[in-house]
Order: sequence, then C-alpha cells, then structure tokens
Amino acid sequence: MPDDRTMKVLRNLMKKQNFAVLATFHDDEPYTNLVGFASSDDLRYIFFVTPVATKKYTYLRDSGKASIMIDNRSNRESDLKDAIAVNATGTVTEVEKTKEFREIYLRKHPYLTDFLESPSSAMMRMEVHRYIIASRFQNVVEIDMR
Amino acid sequence: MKELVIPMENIQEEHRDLIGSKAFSLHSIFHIGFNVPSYICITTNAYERYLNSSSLKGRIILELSRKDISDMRWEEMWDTSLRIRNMFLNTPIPNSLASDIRKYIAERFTDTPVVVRSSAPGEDSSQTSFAGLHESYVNIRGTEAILEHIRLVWASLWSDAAILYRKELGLDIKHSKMAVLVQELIAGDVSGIIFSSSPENKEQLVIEAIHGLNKGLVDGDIEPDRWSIDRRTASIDQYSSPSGRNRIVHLRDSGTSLESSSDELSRTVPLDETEIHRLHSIAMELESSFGHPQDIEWTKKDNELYILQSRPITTADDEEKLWYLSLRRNMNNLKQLRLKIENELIPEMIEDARILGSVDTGSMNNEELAGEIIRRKELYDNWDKRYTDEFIPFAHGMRLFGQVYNDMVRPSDPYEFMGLLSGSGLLSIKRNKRLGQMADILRTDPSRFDKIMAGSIDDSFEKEIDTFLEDFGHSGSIGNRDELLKLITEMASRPEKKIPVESGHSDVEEKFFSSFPEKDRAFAEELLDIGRISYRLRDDDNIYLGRIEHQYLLSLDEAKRRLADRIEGPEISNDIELQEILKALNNETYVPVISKMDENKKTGSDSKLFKRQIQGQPAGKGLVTGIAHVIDDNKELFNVRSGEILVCDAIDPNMTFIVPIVSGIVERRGGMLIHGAIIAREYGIPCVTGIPDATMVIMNGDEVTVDGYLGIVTIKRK
Repeated sequence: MPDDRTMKVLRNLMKKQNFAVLATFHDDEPYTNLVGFASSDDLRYIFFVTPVATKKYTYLRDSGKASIMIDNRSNRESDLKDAIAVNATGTVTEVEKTKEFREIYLRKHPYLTDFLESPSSAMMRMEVHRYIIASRFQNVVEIDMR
Repeated sequence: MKELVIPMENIQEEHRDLIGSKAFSLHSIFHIGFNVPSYICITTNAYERYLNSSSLKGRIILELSRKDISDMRWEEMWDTSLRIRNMFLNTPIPNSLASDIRKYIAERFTDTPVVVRSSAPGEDSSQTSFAGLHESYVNIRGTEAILEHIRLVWASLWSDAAILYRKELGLDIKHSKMAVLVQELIAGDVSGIIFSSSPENKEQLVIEAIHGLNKGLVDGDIEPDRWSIDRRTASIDQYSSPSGRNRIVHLRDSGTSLESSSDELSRTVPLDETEIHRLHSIAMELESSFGHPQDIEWTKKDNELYILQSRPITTADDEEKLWYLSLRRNMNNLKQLRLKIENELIPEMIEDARILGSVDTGSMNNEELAGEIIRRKELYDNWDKRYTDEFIPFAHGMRLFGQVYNDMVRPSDPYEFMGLLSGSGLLSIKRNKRLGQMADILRTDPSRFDKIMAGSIDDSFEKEIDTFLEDFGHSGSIGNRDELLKLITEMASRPEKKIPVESGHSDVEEKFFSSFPEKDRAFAEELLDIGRISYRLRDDDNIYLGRIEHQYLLSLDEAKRRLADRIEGPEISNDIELQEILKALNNETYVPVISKMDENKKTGSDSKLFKRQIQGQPAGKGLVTGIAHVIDDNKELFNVRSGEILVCDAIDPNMTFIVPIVSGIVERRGGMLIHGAIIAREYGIPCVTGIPDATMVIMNGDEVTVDGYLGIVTIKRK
C-alpha cells in the first residue's frame, strides 16, 4: 500500500490538472493526444471524451491499451525540482454516459457539456492498473491499483 | 474585496475601467453640476465573477475558438451570438452575487422603474462607438426583473453586431468585459438629443426633440423636430418640423410600446426658444468639459432637465457596420417588407423570367444576341441587388423570431425554434417531392426504368418531364432534360428517401405561446407568422432569382454554341469572360480568349500538408461517413451518386434537388440559417457548414465523416 503522502500528491495532481496526454498505438506506431480528463474519487478510473470519428477512438476500440500522462510542469527550469509527472496505464473501454459518470466528468469540465452530450462523442474510461509517479527529476514510485 | 456594485455617489476616477465609459461619463456630468437620473453601476468585476462561477467562460472560449472571427461571415457571427446569448439566458446569476446586487437595488429602486443599460469599457470613445450594438432595456420594475435584464445586457456584449464591430476594430474579443448601469427611469415629457457639432456643418449644433421618452427617437421609430443652431451665437439657423408628431412611446406595466399621441401633442412643437438656448449652453459646457464634440441624450420632466448620457461624436461609421445594423428590422418594417416582397417583387420576378423565356434567342443574329445578353445580364444584376437590399433584410424575420423564442422559452437547444419554421411549404421541397414522385414511378415499374435507361421514354413519362420542367425546371441549375433524366434514374435506383415527419411541433408551438401573457398572444402569433414567411421566402426568392439567372445563362450558352467553331481545343464552357463573348459576337473574325484553368488549385494534391480534421458549424444533426463528391460546377451535380457526401462552396435553393440523394453535406459558407443547412435539416441529413476552402481541401473520392452534432469534418485519403 502506498504511503499517505504519495497518495495525497497523486490525488492533488489528479484533481488540479484538467488536461492530460493520452497515448495509444496502432500498427506499431504510438499516437498521442491532449484530452480533458477527470478521475473517480478512488482514482481507480480516469474518464475522457472523444468524438467517434477520430483516430484515438478507433485505436482504443481496436486494442483498449493506453497510457495517460498527467503533469504539472510550468515550462521553467524549476520543473526539474518541482514538476510531478504521473503515468497511468490500464485498459480503456467505451462506457455509457450514465448520470454518475457524467457528473464526475462535468464537475471538472462543465464547459464541455455539449461535447459530452453529443451522440457523436464517446465517453471512455480507463481502468487504471498502475500509476507511475516521477518527481524531483528522477524519483519514481509505482502504485499498483489492482 | 473587489467592488461589485458602485452607487453614483461613490464613484472615483480609479473606477473608470470597472464601470465603463457610459457610467463614467455620467459621473463627470453629475460632478459638473447637471441633473442625472439616480444610478448604480454593476461593475465588470460582477460580470467576471458571473462568468467564472459558472461554466460560461470556458463555453464562450470554446465557441469563439471554433473558427477565427476574421474568417466568419455575418451569418456565422449571428449563430455564434445566438448560441452565446442562449448560454447567458440559461445560466442564472449565482446566489451570492445576486444577493450583493439585490442589496443595492433594494436601497434605491424597490418601487422605481429603471433603465438597464450597457456600459462596456471603451464602449464610447472618440475613436470607437458601440452605439446601438449593445442592449438597453427601458422601464424594468422589481429586483428580480432588474437582475434578469442585467444578465441580458451582459449577453449583449456578444450580440452579432458587437462581435462584428469588434472584429472590424481588432478589439480583443476573448477578454471583452461589460459593466451595467441601472438608472432611474425619468418619464420625460419631452426628450431628445444634441450633437454639439453638426456632422454636416461644424459651425452648427443640432438639437432634435420628441414628445415623451427618448427611446422613440433613439430607435428611429419617431421623427423628431430638428433645429440647427449657430454654435457661437446660439441663433437658430434652421428649423424643420417632422411629417407628423402622431406617435409617442408609452410606458407599459413592463417595457414600452409605440402608441398614437394626442391631438394636442401632435400640434405642439416640443421645445420653445428659451429651452433651445438652454440646451445649447449645456451642450457647449459639456463639450468644453470633455474636450471633444458630444452626442448628448436628455429628457425634461416637470421643467427639470436631465442628462441621460453624453459621448464623443465619432467621425466615421464604416459601410459594412451600417448595412449590418440595417438588417435589424423591427416588426412594422418586416411587415411592410413582406407585403412588398409578396405582392410586388416576386410577381415582378416571375413575370420578368416569363418574358425572357418567351424570347427566342436562337432566331437572333449575333449582334442582336449580344444586345440580348447585355439586357439579361443587367436585369439579373438588378434583381441581384434588390435581393441584397430587400430580400436579405427580410430574412431577419426568422432571426428576430429565433431571438424572441429563445428569450421567452429559454430552450437548452438554441435552434429549437427552427422546428416551428420548417415544413412551411418551401418551393424547393415541393420540387423535390415531385422529383421523388417521378423516381417512384420508375422504382415501382422496373421494365419502364430499364427502357428509359436504354434511351426510350414513353409518352406518359415524357409528359411528366415536360410538366416538371414547366413548373420547376427553368432555374439556374435544372433546365436540361438529359440531366433531369439522369437525376431521376439515379434517385429511382435507390430506395425512397422521405422527409422525416418531425414530431412535437405542436409542443414547441404551445411552449412558445404559453410563454407570453394573454395580452401579448397576438404579437406572438404575428411574430411566428413573420418568422415562417421569412423562412419560406429565404428559400423561394432564390429559386425565382435562379429563373432569371437561368435565362441569362441560356443566352450565354447560345452564344458559346455559335462561337465553338472559332475555338481550338477543349469545349468552350464557363471559363470564358463575358466581354470576350460579346466582342466575338460583334466581330465575326475575332477569336475569344479562354481563361486557363488553374490545374493546381487543389491543395493537398501535391503538398505534404494534409488537413485531416476541420471544425466548422454544426448545421444539421447526425453522423455519417461516405465518399466525397466535390462540386466545382453546378453541372457536376448531375453526376452525384446516392449516398455520397456533397462537398460544395455554397448551396443555393436551385441546387437543393440533389440533397435527397446525398448522405451528408459539407459547405464552405457558414451558418445555421443558410439554404444548405435549412434543407439538410428538412431531410434530416448531417451537415457541417463554414469549412474554409471545403472544395479545395477535400478531393473527389476522399472518405469523409460529417459530424453534424459537433461541426467536425474528418477526411481520410487513400
């Protein structure tokens, strides 16, 4: 079990950051996108929304494997000491836009209501298998969520 | 703590940016010693808090990021404005902020009617004037109604005209702010304006006055008495009386209405000489104090004079802004325009097209044909201009209806009102229905279909074709029997596509009418009627204009046919200038110059840059993937196959016969109320408009996904 301090750092980052880098792959080629995300309170799930006519949706539907990077870099030298980057890996599936999931997502991104509610967009959920937290340049901690 | 509301007595110099130009100007007038109505300012801090405490800020940014404002047409700006306005209408002021504002309203205006006016920072300066672009609301009573109208004034920061004007001036759209002035309503006996320096003669000052509230004059509904006065000596150089003083702005329980004035008032000149001299001296003092000629609004009640506002006179109004503002028509104006269009203009257009159609250009010699072409071109240009001047402004009827519908009903979908306008008997839909019926004849009779495909048409079907061409065919696009047959057989080769019958129209109608108090029902009905006619004519007028254009194009075709012998190489088509055709018709030996086609006009064909996903305007709901058919020339319409995605520059009603067979539409021209979007919605076909260079970036054969919900077009090239 990770210590409380690490969990607090993780929880704080997941709460404060609005956007993350989603990595997928297809035909042995990696592919990345910026997505607006929200996570469940227990951090086991990460939600994001994508139009269905996109590469990321097709790739995720094909394999479901993905990783998501969430970080708080400020693009300054101080990042070497202060930035925290979290890498979440797991399985992504399309889920129904239920009331519960919509609330989780819209609490963080209320301005994306139309985007979420569009029949041409899909709500995706990553079931997180593992978080990898990198801080102070090269300190790395892994948290197994299974 | 940030100041959210500042009463007039507490305003300081440092508050200028917080309260906006109009409020600060009133503060200056008050300090000079003139009467101003009691007022409070809802600061830009309050506006920002409202935006930040809701999701509005992010939603406005998303809306404005859809497309660069400088690339938007005015119809797209109206759409953007409509969507943003609806966001404001559906986002209540948070309780904590509302409580703060309520406190100040209660102290001063509990039982007093007020005017709620915009006061945006930088709104009125000597360089820029937003006069008429933001909203003001007169005679608002009660705290909750005042709060409601503060929100509407905030929303007017994003009115279509205001967005356009900011674009013109290059002001920062994304960081625009709005303060609001809540001002005691002085129900003046006489009101007016003063230009301290006349735009026509700088030695003169101009005073205009009407009986009653100033609103009638400012809105342009009431013609004023007008005096030109020598600025230096205050002597009256010129006086002109209005054609009548028979109308006056009347205060209702809430808001105002235009009523007939009494006989006595209509005979009375609103100002005497003493009052004129008094206004002259006030204007000169304000000009001297502000250091710039002023445009002043004033009112007089029980012999007490109040200055309502004063702003610098701006030097120039650009033509586009003036034309744009002229599109905002009031109900009376729309009703007059409707009568003119229905009773005069459309019958004239039909008659002109008929007369042209009866002239046999084939029997003319070349010189006569050249004269006929010029005549037809002039006629078409004349109608095209009248289209801009009179038909387009009438299209404002459906916009006006849409805005009132949204204000009253506050639907979550800002285009819900379209449900009440559609299905109103568009000429193009009637035409498409007839096409569908002819296709149906062939669909249910395979042997007849096979015979026609083999080139043998029976008499009965021949008659169907003739009748169709007689009724609908003489337009800019359909006129050729072979092309028409090709279209019908293509339609017949696929299953029938019917217009989905929209359900729930009566619910929407009921929602609309029940949002009005009983006494205003007649107005609501009238407005819906104007909206429907405007919607229908917006489509139909193009068809009639298309008939005249068709006759012009026919005369050109006749000329091109005769000149074909003089040209070597490819078939003579649209790529020949009119002047070249006329020159060749008038000179038997002249060989006309043909413009060279730009072979590299498609981007992407030889470039490493590939636009894979483009955002435009979501104009017809639905999601579809299909093969692109790009229309460079209207003749290409007849080669479109069922299920393809139509990609074009702009759909006009003369082209919409193709819509029933396509599965999606991508259009360069943007907007929700343009023909392509209207017809796509009628047929329930996914449509995205406002894709820049659509016909350049998409190529025939590309696999295209049209996301009509989000306004996204995705291109997949093999």
